[in-house]
Amino acid sequence: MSAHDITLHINGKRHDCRVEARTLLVHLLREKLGLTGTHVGCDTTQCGACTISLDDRAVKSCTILAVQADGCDIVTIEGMAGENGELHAIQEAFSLEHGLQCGFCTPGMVMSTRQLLARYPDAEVDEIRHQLEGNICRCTGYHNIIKAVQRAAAQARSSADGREPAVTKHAAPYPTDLHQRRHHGS
Amino acid sequence: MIGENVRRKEDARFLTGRGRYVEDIQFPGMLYLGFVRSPHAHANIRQVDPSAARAIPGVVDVFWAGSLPEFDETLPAIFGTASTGPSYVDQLELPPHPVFQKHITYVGEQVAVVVAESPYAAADGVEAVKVDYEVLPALTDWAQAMAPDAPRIHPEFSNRAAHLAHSYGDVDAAMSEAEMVIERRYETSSLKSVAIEGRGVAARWDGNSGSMEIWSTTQMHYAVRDRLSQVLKIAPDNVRVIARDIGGGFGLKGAFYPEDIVAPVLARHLNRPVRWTETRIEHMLSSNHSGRQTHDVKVAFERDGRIRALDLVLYKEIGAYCHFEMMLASNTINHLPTHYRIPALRVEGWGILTNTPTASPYRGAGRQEASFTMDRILDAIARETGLDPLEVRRRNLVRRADMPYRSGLIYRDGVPVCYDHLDFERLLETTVEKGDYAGWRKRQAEWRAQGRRIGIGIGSYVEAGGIGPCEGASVAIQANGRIAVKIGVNSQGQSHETTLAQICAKALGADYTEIDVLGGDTKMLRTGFGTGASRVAVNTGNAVHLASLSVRKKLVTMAAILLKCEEGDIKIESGAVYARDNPQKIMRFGEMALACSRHPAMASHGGPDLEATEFFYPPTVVWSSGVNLAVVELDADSGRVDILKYLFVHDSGEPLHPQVVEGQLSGGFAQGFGAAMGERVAYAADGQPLSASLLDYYVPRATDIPDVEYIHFAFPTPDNPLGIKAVGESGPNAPPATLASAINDALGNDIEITELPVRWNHIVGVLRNAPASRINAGGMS
Ligand code: FES
Ligand code: FES
Repeated sequence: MSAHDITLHINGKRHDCRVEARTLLVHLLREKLGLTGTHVGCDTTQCGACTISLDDRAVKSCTILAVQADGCDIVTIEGMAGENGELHAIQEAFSLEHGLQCGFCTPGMVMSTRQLLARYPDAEVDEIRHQLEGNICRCTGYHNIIKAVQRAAAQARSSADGREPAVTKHAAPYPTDLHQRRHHGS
Repeated sequence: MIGENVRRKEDARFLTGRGRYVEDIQFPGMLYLGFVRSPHAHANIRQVDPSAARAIPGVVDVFWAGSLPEFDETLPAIFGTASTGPSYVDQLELPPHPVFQKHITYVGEQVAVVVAESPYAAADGVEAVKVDYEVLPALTDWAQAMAPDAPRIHPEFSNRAAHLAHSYGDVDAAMSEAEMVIERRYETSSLKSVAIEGRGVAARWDGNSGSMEIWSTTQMHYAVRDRLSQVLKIAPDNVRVIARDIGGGFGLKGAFYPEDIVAPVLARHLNRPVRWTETRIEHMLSSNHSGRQTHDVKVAFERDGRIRALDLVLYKEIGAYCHFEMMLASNTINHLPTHYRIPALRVEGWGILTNTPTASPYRGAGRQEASFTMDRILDAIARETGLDPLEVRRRNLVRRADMPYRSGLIYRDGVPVCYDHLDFERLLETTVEKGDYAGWRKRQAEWRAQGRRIGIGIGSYVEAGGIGPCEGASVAIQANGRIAVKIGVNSQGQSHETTLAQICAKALGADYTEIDVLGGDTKMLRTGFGTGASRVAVNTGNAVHLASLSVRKKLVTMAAILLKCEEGDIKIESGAVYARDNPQKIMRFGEMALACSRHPAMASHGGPDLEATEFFYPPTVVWSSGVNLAVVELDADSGRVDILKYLFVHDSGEPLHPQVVEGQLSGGFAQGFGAAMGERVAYAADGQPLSASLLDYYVPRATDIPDVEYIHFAFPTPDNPLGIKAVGESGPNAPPATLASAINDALGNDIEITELPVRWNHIVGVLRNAPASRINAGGMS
């Protein structure tokens, strides 16, 4: 198996790694870099427990090779809280609304919510549900997750005040995604 | 403090990626396990050839049946809290279940284990092991397996592994006297828990002390400890099982599995730490499932809708091994009447071996099947008598005035079932009123005329929770003022660290923020019985309450000595003791702990620490209950089921943390919704699983789940000091019955839904053959 040298910027820190070509990004993060907050819940890209931010897009890190992420900027759940450990507004909202029970799906939910809020700051319930369709939670029944996202969205809107959004918005994030086109009207 | 929505103590670590689940464990020098699993449902292994696997870089070794003496050990047939009484069972034959063997009885059964330096190398090794099988005929259906000439799954044992029977009242007389008798067959599919974290185990042998450390996803860490101490032939205290952060359990992780033995045995044999975590396909193939259940009922009733008698024959597919006696079947029987009066009942149940993994509890553990059967019966009576389904329910209800009501059933702790301090009328009438039942019936008729099909369904459940024998708690005030609450259970997401801290804070007069609840580790408390059967709040909750009161008593006695006043003058508040008449005389808990640790007066208070351990023994189970109402609309073209309204009315006693209670219900609701709308573990006739991934097995997504309105009641109960009831398994029980009823109501009398999940092709079949305009309104006809 060929080995490759790659460089990743994870949660603001540079990592130079040597990986087997077949190494999945999630396994590099978890097993080699000790970032075990990103979870694995399936083997068919269904559950979203492994969701991270890759160059500001929510990506299932179980479905991308580490070598494909060479040179990318990655944010994982470990990079969401502030420098002094204060929870990110999304994390805070999940806690306040009891949007997590066992916590296993939670990192993926938080990372998907991060993208959701950046793209659809005014999302209504149906849109929130739709955007979280790729993340399975078996504990909460989504009831309180939806409330948490609504709370985080309201919080983001009230504190945005015309400032730049925390996550850059891509003009056409997934050009092949019909749903996205529908929403962007392009 | 109790009853407040305080911030969950678990949240911070889970939200920041600092949880520690089994797959997060890494020890220096760790090895990884990969399992070779059978592709056949029934086979004999002729030969295992590990040579190619052993040649793969990183592969350390390969083991299989006969490699080590411990692999002949049988898995425990009865596990954790499974067996507390023999209720109803009159025949039970348990085939032994060795860890590795040459006789394979289901697809996914472990054939060999590859040990490697990395998970990837282990997976490579698994691919390379060659196995030669003699394939045998498989049985995946109870009817085939029960046939007198059926081939045997285990040569030495009948496929009819277990039988139970129970009756009360004169069923035969009622059957011959009653005005109407119907017979039905109700089918419920097997379900998989699909916790997002799979099973896992990490094990490390300590040659210095001769002890084993296990990190496990189990719900029953003490039962794992005790079995492993037998297998490893070391004292139970030399086995430490840690089950700290667990990504959901739902019953499946309450069973004992071959990997639970393989990992520690290899860790000792190789003298290196090992880890194994289940992949999703392994979960679908080889983890336990709930087991399909068939209910043949004969019901006698009068034209006015009143039930006279019920005769039930229950067939349970228990998989290739019987690990839970007839617990699931007896749960179904004991929850079968839900809120209704069945004056005479006769039940017979069969536990039948099939070529699938073992059946074990999945959240609800037979209660979902009970509610489905009972509510379908009530709807069938409505259909036969022409009465409204609500009216049939009202006429059969066990009323407040009938309580204490003894149905004639006996719970599996051996105590007769008794309903008391419950109010089914209030739950039902609240549902009818808040759910606008009359309004929806009117709209149903109006909209039907416009070609729209809506349906209304009602479902009810009871939940016996808090089964014993007991749980304990040890509460201690430490020198820095922090309070440790050590418990004998672990959490798979239930918020124990929060709710049990609330109980302690109130009873002890402590600050919630100063309390640490420590569980999921056999070193915390010597004995515990496990998380399952909705038993923790009642058992451990009351133990924490009692232990906190005991510490409080010590505090008062010692404070009186230290502050030089009467015990009656001592007040405790927010982590401090003080003299009522002199607020200057005050000591923080930490100061008290320090002062007490060397005080001779502690000699008569159990030793130097402000500490107490108490166990709570519940007399029997405590009953929670609820009623659900659904209004659905069927899309005329696609048959899609839209939920227009879903109401969940329940009583689970005094809520410790209302948000957590509702969280338990909403999570359970989603699982019940899944069971109604598509979840089904399915096997082809040759034993090949048809639901081996999340592509094939339906799990509800955020888009599927409707908004649910919850209405909470707290009928007080004197059953335990805290007056609490169970809620963990309340959520999933009624939704399948309720949704099936509503869908059937929308479809009208052309079909009778008797199966879970509700089949989409049945819906579409009716819609195709009978456009809405030709159909009479179901419930009103
Ligand atoms: S682990 Fe399930 S989608 Fe990545
Ligand atoms: S909180 Fe357990 S899976 Fe979502």
